[in-house]
Amino acid sequence: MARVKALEAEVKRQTHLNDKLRTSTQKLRLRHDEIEKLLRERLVEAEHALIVAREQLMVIDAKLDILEGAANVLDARTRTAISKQRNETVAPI
Amino acid sequence: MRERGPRFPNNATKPLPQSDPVSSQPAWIADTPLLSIVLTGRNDGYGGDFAARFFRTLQFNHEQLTSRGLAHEFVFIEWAPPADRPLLFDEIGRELPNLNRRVCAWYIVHPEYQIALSLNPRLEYLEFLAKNVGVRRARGQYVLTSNCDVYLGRCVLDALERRALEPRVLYRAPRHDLNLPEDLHEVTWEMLEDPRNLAGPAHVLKRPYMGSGTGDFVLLERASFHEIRGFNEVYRVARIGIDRNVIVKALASGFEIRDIGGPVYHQNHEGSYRLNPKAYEGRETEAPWGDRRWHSSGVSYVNPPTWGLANAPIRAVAEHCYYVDFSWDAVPPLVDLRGILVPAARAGLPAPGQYVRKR
Repeated sequence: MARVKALEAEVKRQTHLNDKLRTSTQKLRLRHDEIEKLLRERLVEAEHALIVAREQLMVIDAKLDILEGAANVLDARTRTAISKQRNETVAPI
Repeated sequence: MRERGPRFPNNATKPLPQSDPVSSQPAWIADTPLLSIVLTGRNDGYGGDFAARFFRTLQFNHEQLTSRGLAHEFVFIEWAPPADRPLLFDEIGRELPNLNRRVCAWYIVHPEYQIALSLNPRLEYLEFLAKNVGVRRARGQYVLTSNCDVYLGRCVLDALERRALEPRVLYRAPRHDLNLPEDLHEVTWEMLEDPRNLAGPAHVLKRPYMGSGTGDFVLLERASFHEIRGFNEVYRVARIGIDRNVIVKALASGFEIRDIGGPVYHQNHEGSYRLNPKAYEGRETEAPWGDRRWHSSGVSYVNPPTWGLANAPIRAVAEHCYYVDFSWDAVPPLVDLRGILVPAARAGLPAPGQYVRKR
């Protein structure tokens, strides 16, 4: 009889433990879903930020091309002008 | 050898009346043809016998348009012509004496513009700035920018004949490259449409940009072309990709890009970019067309309101022939960084191209 009672108590304890674990698993599953959803949102945001960054980078790159081209053009024009000026001002030997 | 400079002295002719500031349409022109075909070139022997290819193409296209009763004009921009060679304008008079000059509006652009506008001394020809000069002054209801060796296909002519074109739609046509004899005197439909003459597999236009050979066929309603202010005039570092860039601009402006339904034909010739696109691989910055890796699919632009050399003084030098004199007033600033921007995002339209590391 005592053995039966002990086993019943053990079953009760195990059932309680099982319920507790089930609740805990459920909570963890919910948390997991929340984290997954959050990560998906963050991924979308990161992808969007990457596209925006790429677009801005392309624009900056194109602007740098223009600036580099303009600097080269102005450099060439300045050299020509200075050479011309020097030829005009330096007296022939 | 003549000195470099204007072919026509300043006191040779009278200046033209003022242009309409809104449309830049000269007030002295009243007719509105259905189609303006804007072309540019110069007598520099580009790709072998440039002039012969051009005259042959011009004659073919003119005959086809005329036979269908399609009112048209050719707006030709003779950009920075070399001083030591005859003008194409003079040559065409000799080679095609029967061509009615009334279907042509010929603009000869002072060579100083090439120097003043260039942001890359390796570029020998600012093709799309030249085309903008024509787009700005074209009178047609629709404006087609093309090249001097491109034959219009039947589907293109059919679409024009049906009056099937719509505003705010940029029409594209695939280019079929053909191997034709260099010394051709006349071109026929049989030659153009014979698949045995194709230099490679017939090209199919792919969404979203419907690119490849874009410069050979960009067709837009004139008002729409003016709305986007022509081809990119801010990025003057490369010639290549400027045609693709106009598609990005059109998409960002809410226009539709549509295949017109059939090809145009191009006769292969030496020096064609298509034949050897990798000629400058590894030294792209040295290419005479500029660095092909620039982000032509990823950036948009806003040209100044004076695009197409709107402020340039123009005077008539012969019947339907005008000289575009040099003036710094017509030259846009060397740098206009606000003119390059991210394309507007529009629902259902493609994202711009992927960033490509250049250096």
